Amino acid sequence: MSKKTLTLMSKDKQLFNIEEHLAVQSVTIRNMVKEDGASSVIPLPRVDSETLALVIEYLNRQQAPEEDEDYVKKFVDERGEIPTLLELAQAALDLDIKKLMDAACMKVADLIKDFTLEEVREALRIENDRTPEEEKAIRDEFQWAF
Amino acid sequence: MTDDVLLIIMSFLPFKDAVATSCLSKRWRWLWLHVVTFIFDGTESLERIAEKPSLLGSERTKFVNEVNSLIDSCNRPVVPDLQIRYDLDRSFKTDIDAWLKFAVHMSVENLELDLTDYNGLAHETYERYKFPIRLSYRTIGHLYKFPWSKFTLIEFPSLRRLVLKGVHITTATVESILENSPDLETLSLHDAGRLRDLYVDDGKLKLKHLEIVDCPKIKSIYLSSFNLVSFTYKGRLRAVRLVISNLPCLKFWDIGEGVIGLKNRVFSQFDYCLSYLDVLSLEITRPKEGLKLATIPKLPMIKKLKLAIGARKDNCLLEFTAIAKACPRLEVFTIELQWLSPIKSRRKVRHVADHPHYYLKELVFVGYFGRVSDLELVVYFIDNAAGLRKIVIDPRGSRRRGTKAVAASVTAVEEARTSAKRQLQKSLPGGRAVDLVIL
Repeated sequence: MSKKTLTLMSKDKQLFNIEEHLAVQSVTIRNMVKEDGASSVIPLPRVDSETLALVIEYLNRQQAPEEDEDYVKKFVDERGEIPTLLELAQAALDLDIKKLMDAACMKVADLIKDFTLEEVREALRIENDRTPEEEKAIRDEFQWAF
Repeated sequence: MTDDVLLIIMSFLPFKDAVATSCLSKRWRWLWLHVVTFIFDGTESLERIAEKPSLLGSERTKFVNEVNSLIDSCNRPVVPDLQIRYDLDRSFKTDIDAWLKFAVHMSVENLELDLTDYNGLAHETYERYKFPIRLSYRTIGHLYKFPWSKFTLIEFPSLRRLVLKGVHITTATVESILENSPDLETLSLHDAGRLRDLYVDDGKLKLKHLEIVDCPKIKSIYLSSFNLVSFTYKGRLRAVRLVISNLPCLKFWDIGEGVIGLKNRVFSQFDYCLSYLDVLSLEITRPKEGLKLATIPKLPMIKKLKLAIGARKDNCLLEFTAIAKACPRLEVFTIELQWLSPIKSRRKVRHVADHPHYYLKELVFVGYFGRVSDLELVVYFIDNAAGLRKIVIDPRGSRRRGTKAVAASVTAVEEARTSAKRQLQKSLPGGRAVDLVIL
């Protein structure tokens, strides 16, 4: 039996080929394939090409099931930059690849848990839209959490 | 980036950090409430207190404030799960009452309240928190007109699982819960010092799992004509009148008592329901007095059997094979020794008459000390269970219910491990694949 190949297209119109039996680890792609056979190109308008390349690398892994957990951990560890991980998590969420998404989110949580609030804002690109008084009021309410 | 990703990240953050994110920006103000669960497990703090009891006062206040502030800020319509585990006594009645009211209003389905002290023991009976006798999702003010009235009313219709440990509860309260929580499937009561009788006889009940543990005042338990699947009773058996009839779904039975002898009541009273049990677990401190091993009835359906017994010196365990012999379909046999004073003596391994255990696949031995008695029991099963695939040896001492945890010393456990390895690897049969696991 010849292996079927799918083509995925990133936000910036780059094309990536991947064998179908590997691509269907993504629940989103699996559903598409089921619905219309997905013979043509599958567009992924929210995923940029760098991130998609990572996702493809992950889907192409050849790991024994019992080593898979460790592999996923290592995979995200080696790409320990928060912006990359966030993109990866978003892509994994859109494509519904649970293991990759959990691993990426867990890694981010692990990285930011000892950050100060200011550092967290910077890492997650959050703009502080509160006055110091408002912030203090919240801190007082949940004193035990700070 | 969407909120979804942020929420997943937040769900991996330690609880306090997740709450702290409310400061990040306006958008983050309430995001954490979506991921926070109302599971307040103070185990870590209690471990600190066990090392340094003087911390109790301040840690308690901290814990109670934490629960209060989360409950106050909860803006969800429904909270399915509320679990609280902390060392709290009746001096926190106002707070705990409010938590229970919150549970009723939030339609909690799974409610767990474990208020035992930092050693895991119930508070003294006069200090123990009492479950309220009135609790309802609607205003029941009229009932308070007569403050002396003993009128009990619990209306908690969402409840599916209720676990209370170290909490007093009266018979009337339990009856009211059973009457007004039609979806209740699991009821577990530990140290309910005021519970006297329990009478359940209603075919409409969905109650599947019932656990009554260490309720010293209990006089009678009557269970009949509903679809109970598992029943656990631990505590005094001699003083309690246990009537069990017409429970066609009952498969799991865990029964035991502390110090007082069992006098074979277990078997004589329940002959008829023993015949269809799948899983039986017995806990008997003085098994030789408690179990008349010669007169054990046949237990034709039992697949899993657990025997937790008090063990002294070098007393022989081989006679307990009688109970395994009574179970022709036994697949997993667990023996757990609760140590009082183990002594290793030098003698030869004894063998008793052979008896085939055709179905036995797994033997679990908790509290293996390395005595000849321990070894000969394992050897018996190796010799007689041709289908044995796995032997699990757990040399870590087991803890008796209602006593302070006495961890076996590290060296003693290490010694037991070494002797288990030395003794058992030698005894394993050649040519048969038996997996030996030493924990």
